[in-house]
Amino acid sequence: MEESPRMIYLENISKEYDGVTVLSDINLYIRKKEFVTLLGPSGCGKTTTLRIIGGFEYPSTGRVTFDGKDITSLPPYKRRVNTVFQKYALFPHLNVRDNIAFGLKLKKMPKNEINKRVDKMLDLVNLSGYGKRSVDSLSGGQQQRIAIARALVNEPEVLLLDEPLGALDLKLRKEMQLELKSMQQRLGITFLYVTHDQEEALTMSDNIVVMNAGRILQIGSPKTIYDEPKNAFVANFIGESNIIRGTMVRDELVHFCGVDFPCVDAGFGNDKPVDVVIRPEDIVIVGEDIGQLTGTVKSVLFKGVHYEMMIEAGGFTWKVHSTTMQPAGSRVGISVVPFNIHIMHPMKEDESK
Amino acid sequence: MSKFIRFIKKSYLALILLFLYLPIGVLIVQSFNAGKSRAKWEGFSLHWYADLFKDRAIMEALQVTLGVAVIAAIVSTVLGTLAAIGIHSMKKRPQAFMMTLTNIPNTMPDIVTGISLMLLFIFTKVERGFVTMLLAHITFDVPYVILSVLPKLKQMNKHSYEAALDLGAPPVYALFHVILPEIMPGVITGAMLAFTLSLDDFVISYFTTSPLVQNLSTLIYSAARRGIEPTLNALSALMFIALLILLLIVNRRTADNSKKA
Repeated sequence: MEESPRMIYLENISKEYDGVTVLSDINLYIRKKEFVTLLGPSGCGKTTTLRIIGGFEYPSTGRVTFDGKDITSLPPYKRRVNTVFQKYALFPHLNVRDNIAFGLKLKKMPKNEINKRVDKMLDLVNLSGYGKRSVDSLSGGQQQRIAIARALVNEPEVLLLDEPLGALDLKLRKEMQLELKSMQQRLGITFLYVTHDQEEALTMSDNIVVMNAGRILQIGSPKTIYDEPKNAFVANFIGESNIIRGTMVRDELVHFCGVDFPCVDAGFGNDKPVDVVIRPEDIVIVGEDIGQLTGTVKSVLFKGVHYEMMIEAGGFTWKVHSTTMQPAGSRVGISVVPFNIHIMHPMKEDESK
Repeated sequence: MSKFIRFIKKSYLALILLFLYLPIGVLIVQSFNAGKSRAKWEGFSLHWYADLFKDRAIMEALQVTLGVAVIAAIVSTVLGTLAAIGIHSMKKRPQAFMMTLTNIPNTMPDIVTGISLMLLFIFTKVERGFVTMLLAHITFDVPYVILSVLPKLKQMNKHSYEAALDLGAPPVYALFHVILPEIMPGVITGAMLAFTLSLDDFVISYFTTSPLVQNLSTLIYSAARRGIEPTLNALSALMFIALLILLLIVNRRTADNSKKA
């Protein structure tokens, strides 16, 4: 993706509630037209970060700038951002059309202009003809679209979305993910998206910000985050993985499970403790005599696209995904190509970087 | 056997209702009695009702009653609604504290409220009359308004207000265009409850007004000491009917609200 100018800057943001730290020293910028996702388990501070950008919370320390201007203490109604709330927060006393027109009426826009824009929005979210309906009569998915239309009609420069798909069922959620992504690309609006669903984050984002316990652990493209997680937490949170303690013998050679494995990572020093990540789909099952490790299949689960096997080898139970099944109890060899062995610095108790 | 049990059940209920409503029934019947005697039926007549509307003292008391009830209902509705919004947005602990403060006056006997208000007015050398009675009524109405508005606030999506701000509404606009329309049913119920309670009140009014400014209940009380005029039967009958209608409306509204919730 081409580098567009930085628009929102969070500098050294910390937030405390009644002495409890929910955000500590967050530094983050968001570029124009970017789709950025804040990803983390509940309570990691992702929603608080979003609310600070929306203006619903003020940081305890640090500042927020928008196009270079300090907006840290600007109230929400003066910011050029709009929000799609977790449970939509549509106004039940207004019909669909008046819900969408709410922001435009506040701007004292002429009536026929308002009508034109509302119609365009209803069209965009595939709900033209629903204008007169009461919002309570709509399904969850439809309410979600109205909430998006109500925010987008104001032509915000940034759209903040707080787990907007959380209340929808799986199929609808997948549809809406694609729809949101294509909407974002068509309209060229910056999206800042909050979710705890790693798959959602991988599917939609240009960049993902992985958070835990009020800190940013890693920022990067979905591919970087998946292939090169910075530490065990990120590796575990994004997708499934086998994480093993090992020793970096020297550059491009790592020792774990009693065996030396060639790898492609370097710069960790010699004989240094490291964490090794191997994705379940990167482990290849081979004949017992030619594997780097040999072991026994403990259990097999059919997962639809693939089988998930737990294989005990070298004193570790490996999670392995494969389209061919090895029955439980059989002896197998496993091997991993050097490129698929990912080395990380071991995680400390209090992990900041 | 089951028929017998059903009969017992029904007569038991009938007996209770009879005890509850017989006195009022007698009163209403008596108000149509042509004669002055309470022991003898001397034919149907509306003339006590006619006399009622000609009685200056009663008409003045009616004005005072309605005046106090209307003003007290309006003022306490505004105060109570704002208070409810404030309490709702408080953090847990101060909120619990405020709710206790709100509930205490409700559970306090009227006579205690009445006497303490009287002492307050005497202590602060405020001359008792219409204004003091009005203030007293506002005082005991406000908690009821708060209690009928709060549930509506709790039902509201907690992000509604923020959504309004987000769409560019300044706080006051958001209050009138988003919060108020959503809690309106609770506000109206609160106002009607306040009005009814105010019409209904005797004890607190008695202690907070002067003999020169009487509302209907204090007037009836002082008249009763001289002996009941049949016009008072007619007056009581009318008050009963008016309050009954109001209460029915309030109950219907509360039932509707809880059904929707």
